[in-house]
Amino acid sequence: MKEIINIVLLLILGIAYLVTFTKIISGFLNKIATQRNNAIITLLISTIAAAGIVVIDISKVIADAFVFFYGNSKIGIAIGFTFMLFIASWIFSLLLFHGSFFLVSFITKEDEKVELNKNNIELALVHGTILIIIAFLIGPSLSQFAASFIPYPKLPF
Amino acid sequence: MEIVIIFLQFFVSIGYFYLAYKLLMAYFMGVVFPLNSASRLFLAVGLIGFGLSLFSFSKVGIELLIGFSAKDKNFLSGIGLYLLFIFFSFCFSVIIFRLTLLVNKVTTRENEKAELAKNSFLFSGIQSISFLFFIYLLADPVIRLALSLID
Repeated sequence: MKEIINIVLLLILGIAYLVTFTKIISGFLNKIATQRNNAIITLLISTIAAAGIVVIDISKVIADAFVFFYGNSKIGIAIGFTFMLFIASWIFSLLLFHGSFFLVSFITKEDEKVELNKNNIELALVHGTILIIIAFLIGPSLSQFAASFIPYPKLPF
Repeated sequence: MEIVIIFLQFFVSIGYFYLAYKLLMAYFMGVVFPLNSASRLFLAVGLIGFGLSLFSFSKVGIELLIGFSAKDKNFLSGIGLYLLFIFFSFCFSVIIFRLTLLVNKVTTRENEKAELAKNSFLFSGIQSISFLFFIYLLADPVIRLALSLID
């Protein structure tokens, strides 16, 4: 039973995560770009991929936490913890996206918004790659941090 | 026993990818013929997604096969269990593929077939990322469910 609830919960939250994140980023990119060119599409897809990497890393912790809390008859905490971690990864992915703009502007010394409007695919690819690499690098540490909130019993050795 | 497992995995993987390719091609041929770049991208990522699912399920399936044959000395039952896992993997991938199409259709309110026919890289890219995302996100919990059913 707990496995089915876990799958359903992950599925619903996964869909919500992906849909809301895509809408927010798409809206932001629509604001900064006059038209949806290839550079904007590249950046949008890379950003969604990076957000996916972050939540996939944390999802292992989420699934373990759910099984642990459910096993201890704390169903409310199990669902709440799952929700909280999804929201935390959503906020982190958004911060990562906005933060990466500063990093890319610092590295390339160019006004990124102007370059994206000029369909500078090279810059979009650099930005996308940086986002994905940072997501891969930070994901495991983030899941370790999330796992530290689960009160696993301490082993005697 | 290891050689038998290698051959088993090899032939099962070939059969699996053949079926996955046929299934995906049947879908894409129904949308656009000849395939454009956006459809090709989605097809390639679709095959990668099917492969990732096979990888996750196969790893557990082989562990079960080894454990089963060591405990009961019944190698054939172990193979049956392994093949059942591969079947689960295929069904899981097909369901996730369909689910991804449905989710994007509902959320973007666009006709996925028309977008693919228009060679929309945006649509194809989002579909591809969503498909891989759901495969990664749900493979482990589904494997746990399958293991609990076997127990």
